[in-house]
Amino acid sequence: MSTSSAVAAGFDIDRVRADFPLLARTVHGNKPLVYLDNANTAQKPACVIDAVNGFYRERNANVARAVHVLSEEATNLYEGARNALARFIHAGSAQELVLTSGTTMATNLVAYSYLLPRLKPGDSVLVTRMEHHANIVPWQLVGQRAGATLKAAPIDARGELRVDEFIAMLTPDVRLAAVTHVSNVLGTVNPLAEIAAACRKRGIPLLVDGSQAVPHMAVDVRALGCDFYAFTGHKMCGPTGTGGLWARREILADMMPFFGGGEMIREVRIEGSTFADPPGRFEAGTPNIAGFAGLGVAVGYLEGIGMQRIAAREQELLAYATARLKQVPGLRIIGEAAHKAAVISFLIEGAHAHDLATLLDLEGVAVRSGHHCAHPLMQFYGVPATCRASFAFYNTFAEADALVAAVHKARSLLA
Amino acid sequence: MNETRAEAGSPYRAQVLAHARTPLHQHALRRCDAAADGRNALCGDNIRIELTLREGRIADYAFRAEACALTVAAASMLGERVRGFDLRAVQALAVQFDQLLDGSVAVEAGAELGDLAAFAELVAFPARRKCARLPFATLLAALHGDAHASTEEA
Repeated sequence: MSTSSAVAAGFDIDRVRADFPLLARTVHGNKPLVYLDNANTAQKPACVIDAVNGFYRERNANVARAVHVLSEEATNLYEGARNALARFIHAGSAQELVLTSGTTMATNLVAYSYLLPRLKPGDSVLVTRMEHHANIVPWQLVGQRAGATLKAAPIDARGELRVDEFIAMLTPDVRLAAVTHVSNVLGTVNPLAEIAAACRKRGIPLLVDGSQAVPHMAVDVRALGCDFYAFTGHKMCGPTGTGGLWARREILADMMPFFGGGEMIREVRIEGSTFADPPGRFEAGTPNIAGFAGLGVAVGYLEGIGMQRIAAREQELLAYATARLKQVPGLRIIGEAAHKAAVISFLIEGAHAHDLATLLDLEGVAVRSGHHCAHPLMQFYGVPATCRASFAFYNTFAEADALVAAVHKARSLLA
Repeated sequence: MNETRAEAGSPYRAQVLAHARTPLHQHALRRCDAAADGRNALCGDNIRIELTLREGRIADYAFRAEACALTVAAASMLGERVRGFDLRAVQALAVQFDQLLDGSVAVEAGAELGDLAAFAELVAFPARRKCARLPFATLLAALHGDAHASTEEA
């Protein structure tokens, strides 16, 4: 299979792959690694690894605490990452971006700092059936404290949100709507413009979980029309323990801190403290400075390739792998939305997802099997687990072939 | 190329696949003196083991499962070994099986295990050991009078 096509033209896959040291390794003896677990975490280019390493070798200091040169350099790196991320997601300004350990921290921050003080008994939070646990459990935890409930809008069998039902569920008791941009299991890209417009019309704030979107498409948080946008760094070629929460400035200004400690204060007296302006107010303690040094570089790396080109290449990989997998007898794809990202969840009749994943692993093909932190979605499809192959721009058509060959072999052993 | 045989190093050895494809003892018991349900919710493995007991020993063993190949094969193989066993004998076998899975006992020493020794490759697949362990845990639960078992950590 050739990689040449109109959209992928100018995409030098060999050069791109050479940027990722890990992609060259072998597993189980001498099998070349075929890494198709990108929705779980992405591999890191050498420039990101070097940035983390370089921070500890040459610049290690705490941020914004000392006047010495190292601290200033560390602060510049950390704030530089904030600026790069803000630009990357088209935030109005870097002051609208709280740096967090990832999406989970971001949703919890909204749950405790924004939502909990506003929740009353009888209130509710509206999510969808396809949410990751990070966009379910925080709302349940604060809901329990306040006597509020969680409700989930349905999806259809193809894995598309029933937008009409979602909008009908935006009743006056809803204090927050929380929707994923892209489903980590189904790949479904949700129609956020329509959702955001409906929320805005009713004065209901909208949080978007962008974990699976930011690494794969150009994201413009202001154009989306949401109020909060949460994302994680490690899925976008950055280090683990990095991520962010974007929110409009006036919303952040109206939120009390959730974590207290150093860095986030203006003045501390035993009688009471005053807090720094956002986003610093929400960043208590020493942050993951080295991680953000790496994430800032990751943003530059992705911009260097171009998000349009990344999206186009991944769409080609998706179309190719989907067509080939559909030829495998007994294979069922879970998630066939019209608009989807390069995530393919599948099952094979008579074969358990974990057996499939182990047999694929023996062929060097790394996929995820299990519930993908989306129990309610698995319950909807009536399956305990699926196998999920998820692509990144550095994957190849030959790797899609290797996946299909390994699936054929596994099927012959199991089914 | 024979596509139906897994290579060396695979947890899906021929005996494992044979038991998984055509399991033995996979039915319900007419007379059931003890039973337990094993469930690994995260994995999606469900198994029910039923026993007929005679003076504290297993006279008959049967299972039904909706589970992965490793769980089904282990349940099938287990049925081949435990007739006539009392609780202590099953416990002793379970200890041997655990030692086999974590590699602390050489495979030859696993002669007592019969076909179950085919799971020795799971030494290299720690994430899948709980699948092979589930039938043992369920059988022990049935003998202890517990209704439920799991080999997933809480």
